[in-house]
Amino acid sequence: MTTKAKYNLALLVFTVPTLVFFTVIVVIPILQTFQKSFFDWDGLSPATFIGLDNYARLLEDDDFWVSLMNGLIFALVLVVYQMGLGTLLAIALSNKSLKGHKFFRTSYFVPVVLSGVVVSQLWIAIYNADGGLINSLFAMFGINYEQAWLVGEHTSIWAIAFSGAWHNLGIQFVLIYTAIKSIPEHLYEAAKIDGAPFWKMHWKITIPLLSETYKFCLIIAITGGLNAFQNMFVMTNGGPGNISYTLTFMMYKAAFRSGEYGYGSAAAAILVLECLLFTILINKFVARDKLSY
Amino acid sequence: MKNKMKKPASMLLALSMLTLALSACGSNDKSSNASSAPSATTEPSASTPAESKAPEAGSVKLKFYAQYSGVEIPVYDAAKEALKQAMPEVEVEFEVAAQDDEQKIKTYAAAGSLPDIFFASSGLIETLKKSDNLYVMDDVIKANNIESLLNESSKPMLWNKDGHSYSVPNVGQWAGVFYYNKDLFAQNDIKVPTNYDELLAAVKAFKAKNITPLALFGKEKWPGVLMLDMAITGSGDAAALKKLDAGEGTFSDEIYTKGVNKISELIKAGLLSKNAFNTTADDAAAQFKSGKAAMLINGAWSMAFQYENLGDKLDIMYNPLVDADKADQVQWNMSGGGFNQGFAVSKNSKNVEVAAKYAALFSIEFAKQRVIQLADPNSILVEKVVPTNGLNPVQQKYSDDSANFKSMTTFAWGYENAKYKTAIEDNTQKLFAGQKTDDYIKDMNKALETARK
Repeated sequence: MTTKAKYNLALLVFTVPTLVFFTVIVVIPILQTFQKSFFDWDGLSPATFIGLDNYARLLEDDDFWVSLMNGLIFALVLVVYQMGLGTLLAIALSNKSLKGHKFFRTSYFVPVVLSGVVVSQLWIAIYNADGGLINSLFAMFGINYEQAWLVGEHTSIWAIAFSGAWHNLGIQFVLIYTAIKSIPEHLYEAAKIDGAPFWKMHWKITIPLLSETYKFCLIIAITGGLNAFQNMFVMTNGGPGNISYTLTFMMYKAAFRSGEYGYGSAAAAILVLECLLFTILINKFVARDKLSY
Repeated sequence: MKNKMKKPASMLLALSMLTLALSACGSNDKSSNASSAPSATTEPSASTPAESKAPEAGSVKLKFYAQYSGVEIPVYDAAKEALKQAMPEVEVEFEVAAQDDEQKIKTYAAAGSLPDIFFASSGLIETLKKSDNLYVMDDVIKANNIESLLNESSKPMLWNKDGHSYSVPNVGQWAGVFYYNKDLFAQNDIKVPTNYDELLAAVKAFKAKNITPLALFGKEKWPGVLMLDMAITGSGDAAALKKLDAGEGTFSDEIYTKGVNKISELIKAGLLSKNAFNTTADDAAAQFKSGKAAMLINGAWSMAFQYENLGDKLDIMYNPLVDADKADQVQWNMSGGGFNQGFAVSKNSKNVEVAAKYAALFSIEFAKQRVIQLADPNSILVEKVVPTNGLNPVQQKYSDDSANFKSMTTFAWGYENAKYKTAIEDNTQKLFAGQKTDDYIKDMNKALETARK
């Protein structure tokens, strides 16, 4: 066998299984979802082609707009909390002189290994309107701001999103932390010689050099937020009413509770397009130049 | 480089095409299997007991998907044991039904692998009927005189609106009730409400004393719907929300608007705790047991459990949301119940006739065992069955009063229109969370239009 043939064989051996797996698990179901979104289908009986009716109905459905907005809020909270706090913590812990940095590094990752249901239950207790931790703290300090955090129209999705952001902060933290560790030390040494203060040094060196990591973090935070389901399913079951719906929850409701698989597929198709749009925009506008140092 | 990549790229493309083609073939195979299965059952199966030959014990294995859990386990086991006499050839294997809005059973149906026997609600019956997955049980019911075993009020549960039977009822139609703590009412000198005005007064009085008036497990959506149904029934419409499910009326009709206003007024008066929508059934029962809540809304099936918790402090009221001027006329128009639900059989079962006979006989035996073992005061049978441990006072009261029940609506899971069910569950939860009545009525009318298309 020639070298070229061996190269081609190796290429096939390493790529085909993944490609086939990806096609079967991801590509085909997505294509089927798009196809089914043009049908009136209850999941069991023969489907009836209805063109764009499901999409037209989506635009008139209050659930859809609430879900869309909630998905964006969820994504925003993930981006701000996970990337913002993740960066601050990573910068702080990248300083080896900080006492106990190894302990903190491990601690920040602990919530990630907990089950989502456990984390949701924990936050349900914290948000509990009757004697939960947050309301108790307000009461303890004499602040009259007790809320039904998970029930309020303007607090529910923020509260749920925050619990989700807390749960997976560790992932973003680890990504940013390892990226910081890969920045050459001599850049910081040069800045120190020039008399750059600590925060300015990170603002001018660390943050710009993290742009490619941020691109990836941004994609997983935004798509994670748009796809959020588990947190609201456990914490509020989407309610009261639809106030904590996201598009995934709407899809679940349409398909499994109302038996409208076609309509649920339309919601899913919009979700796929939304995630695709954000991924394209992030790839186009964030970290366009490849960094080398 | 271009040429180097050409060959592997072509192979990749070819393989991708092959994957797609194979998956398509797989799909066709599945559907052809599913469609051929029913015809196979039309011929006598090898395992179907022949009339001339005694069947071998345990030769027919049936999968039975049901609520085989908690207090019901001994009921199922006893019914299974009893049926070994009548149908020794059958060996059933129970699968615990998931509490998942019937997703699992529908997935089984979509995959063509429905269990032989399963519990079916009215909504599921309609869905599976439409997709031709249900076995019509008319002949089995006639052959085994099932109808003659049921009491008059339970006979209608056997028949679907199309005149056929798709399931045999296994429990009676439970009413929704308000449980209340007698001591808490007495200690706080609050009158036990017999109508809406008195209920509103009681809610305000309990709220003023920092006692939660009603423990509502609002994490589940049906208790709110039940209470709204009671409010409407209490104003004189015996069919209440069930009528809307059947395609009649809108929320703009006076009686529905009135019901919605009653709920809204009670919420504003402080009916619920702030945490009601994160409260599970167990949480609500714990609040009620501890005396933190004065009342609890649930189905009458919970009587044994609530009595275990509260003992003689417990009592029930049927509908404290009735209008004061109509209380005498409408007090026995009950909310709750269901319609034509019970054990059903998959049309695609390999042993469909045996399964149908077994399901029918099992339903009757199950109903009997519920009375014997769980002191079910709500028997569907003509036969007088005596509970092993007798009835507790609350069950006895329900049992005596049930003779007066004039009509029964349905619990939310009994609605046949799934779109309507979802909409009323979600929107009513919003109403209970404080949504304005006009917005609720507008949203529900819009949902009704969609559901009726």
